[in-house]
Amino acid sequence: MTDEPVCQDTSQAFRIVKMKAAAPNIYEMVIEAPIIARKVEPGQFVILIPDETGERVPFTISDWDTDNGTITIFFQETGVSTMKMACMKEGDVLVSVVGPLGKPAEIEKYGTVFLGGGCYGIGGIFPIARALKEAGNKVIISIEARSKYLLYNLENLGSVADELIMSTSDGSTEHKGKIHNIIQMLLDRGEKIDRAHFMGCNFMLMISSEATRPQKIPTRVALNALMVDGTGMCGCCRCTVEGKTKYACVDGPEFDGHQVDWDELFARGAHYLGDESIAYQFYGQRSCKMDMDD
Amino acid sequence: MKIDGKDVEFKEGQTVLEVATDAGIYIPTLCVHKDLPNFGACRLCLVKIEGMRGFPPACTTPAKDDMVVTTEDDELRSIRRNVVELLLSEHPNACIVCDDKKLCEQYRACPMKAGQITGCQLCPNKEICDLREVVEYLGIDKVDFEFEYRDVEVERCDPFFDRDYNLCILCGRCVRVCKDIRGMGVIAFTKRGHETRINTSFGKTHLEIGCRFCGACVDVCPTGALSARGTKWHGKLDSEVQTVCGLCNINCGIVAGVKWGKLVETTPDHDSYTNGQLCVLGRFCISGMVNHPLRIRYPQVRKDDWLIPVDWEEALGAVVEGLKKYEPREMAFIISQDVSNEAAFMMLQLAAKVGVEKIALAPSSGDQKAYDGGNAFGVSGLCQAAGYTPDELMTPEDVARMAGRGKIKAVYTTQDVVNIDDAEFLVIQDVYNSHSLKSAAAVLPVQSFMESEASVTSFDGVTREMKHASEPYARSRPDWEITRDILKAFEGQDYASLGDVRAAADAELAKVAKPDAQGTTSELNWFPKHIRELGDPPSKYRGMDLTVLIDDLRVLKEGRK
Repeated sequence: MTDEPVCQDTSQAFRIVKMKAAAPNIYEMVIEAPIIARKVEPGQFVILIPDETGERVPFTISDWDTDNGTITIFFQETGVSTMKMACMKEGDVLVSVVGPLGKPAEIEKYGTVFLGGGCYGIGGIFPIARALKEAGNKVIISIEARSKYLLYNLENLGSVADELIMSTSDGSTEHKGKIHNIIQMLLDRGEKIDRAHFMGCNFMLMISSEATRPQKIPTRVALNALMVDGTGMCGCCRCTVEGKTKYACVDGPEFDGHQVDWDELFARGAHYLGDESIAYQFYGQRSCKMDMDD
Repeated sequence: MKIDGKDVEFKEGQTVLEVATDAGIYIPTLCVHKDLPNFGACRLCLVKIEGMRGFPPACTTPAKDDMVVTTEDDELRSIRRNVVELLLSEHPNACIVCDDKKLCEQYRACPMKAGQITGCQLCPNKEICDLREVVEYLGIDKVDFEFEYRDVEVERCDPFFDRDYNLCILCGRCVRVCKDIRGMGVIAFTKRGHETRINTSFGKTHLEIGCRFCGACVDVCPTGALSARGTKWHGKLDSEVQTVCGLCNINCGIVAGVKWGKLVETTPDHDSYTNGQLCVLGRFCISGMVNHPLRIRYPQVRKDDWLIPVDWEEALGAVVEGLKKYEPREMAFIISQDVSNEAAFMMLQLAAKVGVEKIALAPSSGDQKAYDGGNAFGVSGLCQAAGYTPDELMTPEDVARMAGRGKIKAVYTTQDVVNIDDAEFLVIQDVYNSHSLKSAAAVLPVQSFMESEASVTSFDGVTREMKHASEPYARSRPDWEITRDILKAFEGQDYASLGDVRAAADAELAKVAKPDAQGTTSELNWFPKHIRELGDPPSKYRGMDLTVLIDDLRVLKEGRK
């Protein structure tokens, strides 16, 4: 890391230069953010606010272009904020983008590395795969989805993978099942896996980590914790790893998948379900400008 | 006739399906809905009938004497499986055939709030899905046909509901309810064969085409294709409460869906006298109104020009002390026509005790219609019973004018009133923060009609009960209880419970003639005639314009112009 402080890019607007549905419910958004693009390393994330009444939401940086000063995120619509983002168009401007945040992924020459991506992670796993490939590893990538039409980012992943394996719940690709089934399949065929990286929903991270536990394969997972400020101040993203309290924003987002307290993570993630659900009742009420009493 | 070896009786005109259902024999179906004319679209209810060729659909075959029907055997089960698998070849089915289904449902009990639905785990309809029910009944855990996602864009351009026709199974329930029950015909089947879709004429938006957004189509949809945008992501409800709507005096029956102690949706009550139909306000607006951040949270009292949150005791103390400073002739009470019988009765009791004769009803209207207030007939009936002729009742505008001239100095109002700033001592007992709060001496937050028990008298003269559904918002209390406490401070009669107040209010109402609803009640098979249309008159609740609270309602109203 350089001495230059991590800062919010205030020099210009965070304009959306590309907005595209990558797969049903998954969107690719390319944002003008030159300073972030210059500093980002694989595994880091940004926190952005979609509009002036919006909340702060973290997104993994899935690619960047230093020359054009842009970063790419893939996001899944899964709440009011991402619904607002899904409705944005090219040329629209985000209120704020802060980053790069979080620790970069550990990149070394390990030998054979297995990377698993699901939902937004199919996009988000790419920079880590690329860096691992450049470090001289054999890279096997497996991506999972419910069905074939939900897979995306294949060209990017294919360009850095020695082997790209697609698995689907309904068996519409060659392999029916999920990433944990693919790990078993690789082990069965005698593949020696030296390290594993997973990115996707917490459920997928948990199940996949369980699949690498018996062989004691070092496993890194990018946790999805509720997050507000992203700099270790608010404590919202608290999680327990190796029995110790960690902050996913500054200590992570990557942790040892075999040491995470999953039940706690799920419980914390479900804490605001009610408010998240009721937030839809007020979506679009931005015209409501009357004073409130608290 | 005989069904599955069982002798059953039937009435003339019943279908085989109806006879079987009455006899407790289940035949799976997706297109049949009890409120709708039968259609025979889904081909799931195929049965065998002796002497008839092929497999007639039970839903469109009239029952006849000595018929011998078989509803279930290997052959029929195989046909049904095939029918459902064909449906699932176009309806996202991955969650149905997934090996990790059990574990996934355990860890992800709440749906994922997706914009485009590609599995049951992302579907708002999961808990009530008719398709899932049939899949489970038939025990389908694999689909032999290759899945083809239609990949049509989710339609989110209209207010209130989303349409994801990737999930549609073309049962036609929405088309039938719109045309046959609501008399609108906004949507129809368009194109043919593989290209068949539900659509409006020329593919216009529902807003352009004149849809009233009653939500009847959303309620009958057997899949997640049609869903209420604001109120769909709650998952399994904690409780459902049958109550009535308080936004107009038809008081349609609604079922309040409650979760996390909050109102998360309102759906029509099929057991009510309104036959399971609602208007846009009742179906889509109530949850947003009840949970709205503009609700008044705390009792407040003005101190040095500022409204300061205080406890109830202090607020009521300030109200009583303030009112006692004025002569009865300097006071006016404004009773909202949206309050319950109990609340209006208590206001009138307090007026009688204090000696206040200036009573105004809000909103004012010479020509009374069912829509004027949520309890227009109840409130005006109680005023009549208390001895006020319609000519003696004032309007809120009169009160504001007299306050401006200094004739009225103290006002106790149960709703927002325009231009009331000149009153010296203004007590506002209301649900929402409004502009009148700027000049209020005391503010008393009230529970909405979803939070407290009460009764209202509808336009047909029948008194209906409102139930306690969701938890009270912040520190709010019921109207009748607040006025009861003020009355007590004036040494008036003490009413211990809501039941006492209700009994007294009912006795008062019994004195007055029931509203002449002959013209309307005779047409009580009445859809859509009496479900009100938006904008007729302005949709307000206790003086608050609902388009301020519900943005989609504003969109609808502006689109209408």
